[in-house]
Amino acid sequence: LESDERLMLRFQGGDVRAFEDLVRRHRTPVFSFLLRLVRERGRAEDLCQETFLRLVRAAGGWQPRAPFRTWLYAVARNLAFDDARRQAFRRVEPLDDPARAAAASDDPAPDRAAEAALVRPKLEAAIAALPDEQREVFLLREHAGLRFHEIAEVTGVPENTVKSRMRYALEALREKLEALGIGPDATARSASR
Amino acid sequence: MSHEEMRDRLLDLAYGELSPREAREVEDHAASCEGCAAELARIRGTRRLMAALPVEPAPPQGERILVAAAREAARRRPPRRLVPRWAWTAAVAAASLAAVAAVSWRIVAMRPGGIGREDPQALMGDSPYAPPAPAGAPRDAPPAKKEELAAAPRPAPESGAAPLAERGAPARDRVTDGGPRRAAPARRFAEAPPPEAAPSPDAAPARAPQPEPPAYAAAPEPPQDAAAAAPSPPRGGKEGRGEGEAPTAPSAPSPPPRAAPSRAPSAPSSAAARAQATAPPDPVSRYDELRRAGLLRGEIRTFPGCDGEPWRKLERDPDGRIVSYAREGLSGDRRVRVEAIYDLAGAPARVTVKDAATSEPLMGTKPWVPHAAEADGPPRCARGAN
Repeated sequence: LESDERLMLRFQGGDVRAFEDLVRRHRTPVFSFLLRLVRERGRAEDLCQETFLRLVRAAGGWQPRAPFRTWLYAVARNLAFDDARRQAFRRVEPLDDPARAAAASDDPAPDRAAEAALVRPKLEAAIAALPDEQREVFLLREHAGLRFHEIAEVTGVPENTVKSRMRYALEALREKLEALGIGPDATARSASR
Repeated sequence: MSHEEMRDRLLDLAYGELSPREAREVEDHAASCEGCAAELARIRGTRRLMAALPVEPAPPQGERILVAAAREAARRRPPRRLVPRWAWTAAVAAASLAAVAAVSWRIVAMRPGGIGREDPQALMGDSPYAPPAPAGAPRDAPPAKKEELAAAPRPAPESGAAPLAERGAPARDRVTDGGPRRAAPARRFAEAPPPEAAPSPDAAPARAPQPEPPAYAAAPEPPQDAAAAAPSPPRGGKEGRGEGEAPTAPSAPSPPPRAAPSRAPSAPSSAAARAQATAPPDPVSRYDELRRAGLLRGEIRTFPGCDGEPWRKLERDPDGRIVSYAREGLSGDRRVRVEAIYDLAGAPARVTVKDAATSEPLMGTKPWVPHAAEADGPPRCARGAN
């Protein structure tokens, strides 16, 4: 598998196919990260698109000093951060807020399929309930697959701070899931399907 | 590692960010520490729970727009440098160094060599790096001088032989030839067209601007350099070899390893062979033998107007090998003569320095160190030192 950095250099050289490979490889994880970070699909789509457009514009001067993924998620995260500040002026509750969806589906489903379908919104709700700085660390580690020192680069905080936030996030998720009635058994059954 | 340090690493262990050795250490600690084991279980359990959350697929409609934008950007972007900037800088620096080295080498190469150098052209002052002619020095050589200084008592050349003054030009005169000034004599032999060959029309203008033939006198026997001069129209047709020697004869393989131009055996070749066969290995004795047998062919070159060094002389055996070299010039206010006898390999076997007037040996006195005699340098008129 050709590395991200190699693909980016090829794109710098004018190879659009390399850019297509990068998009196919990273667009969904970036979108997933953004969706759970901003908790609004429309905004996540716009931010994801803007992230890759930034990539197109910055490709000419890109230098392979840092891993490509670190750079990509830093762009996505900063775009989301700036967007969140703009959104703070007009607090609109998103229609597809996972927390609301989870709260609306408190009742346990009668069969296992329904149960699995119910687990997911609760997991989403648990993530959504995290403080922003914990949520971004958790998503960058679990969904983007960045290592702790890379998350430190993306977020601009020390690595120890990143790990502290991660511990708090995991503890908060565990407590939230317990409160929502999700234990290891439920997720094990869900994961086995 | 302390308990706190182990506990701090539980998160790294759960996320696979420890080396195998560190991971084993922390695992071992967790196995014996109830608190750490419980925390590691909680981390792993929560991770398992959250792993059930699938990745949200990105909407497909945006991809086409991105690719179109990328194609447009790639079209407008100047092509990326195939060679990085640092490599380009390094290449420029290397080229500069190479240029400096080349110039330095050329400067070093311009230093005249020692007397052991067997390059007839250079020995005769025809150095490729010869300086311009001394101011006021007349270019034409008085023909009488060559007669006086001719070393070998040879028959007079055939009427077709080129005028001696035309045979070879000092380097400064040959510059105008436009030909390869540094070509080895052997090579020029090979390239020399036979006299029957019509003079090259291309070469004619090259020699035309030489109204004043250089002062290059030779012994009655045409020197081998005649073939080198053959491409020049005024000389090519007249450049016969003395004693009926076929000018078109190819160069015979020369026994000595040096680049001395060889020549085809000529009329006296049988006598030469006899002399060669009977010649003792001692170069001086061999020289005397050849001289007695009248088999030496001399070339002499004068530098009119050059008080510091009026003449140089070469003698060759019938095979074209240089067997002696002499020059006369001023050392301080004393006129001295340097004479060298060469062995078969072209190395100077004996070098003597004499007072030109008294023939008193001067070897060992200033500045006569044979290898430093700068034998193949241009004539040192201005320095007045030999």
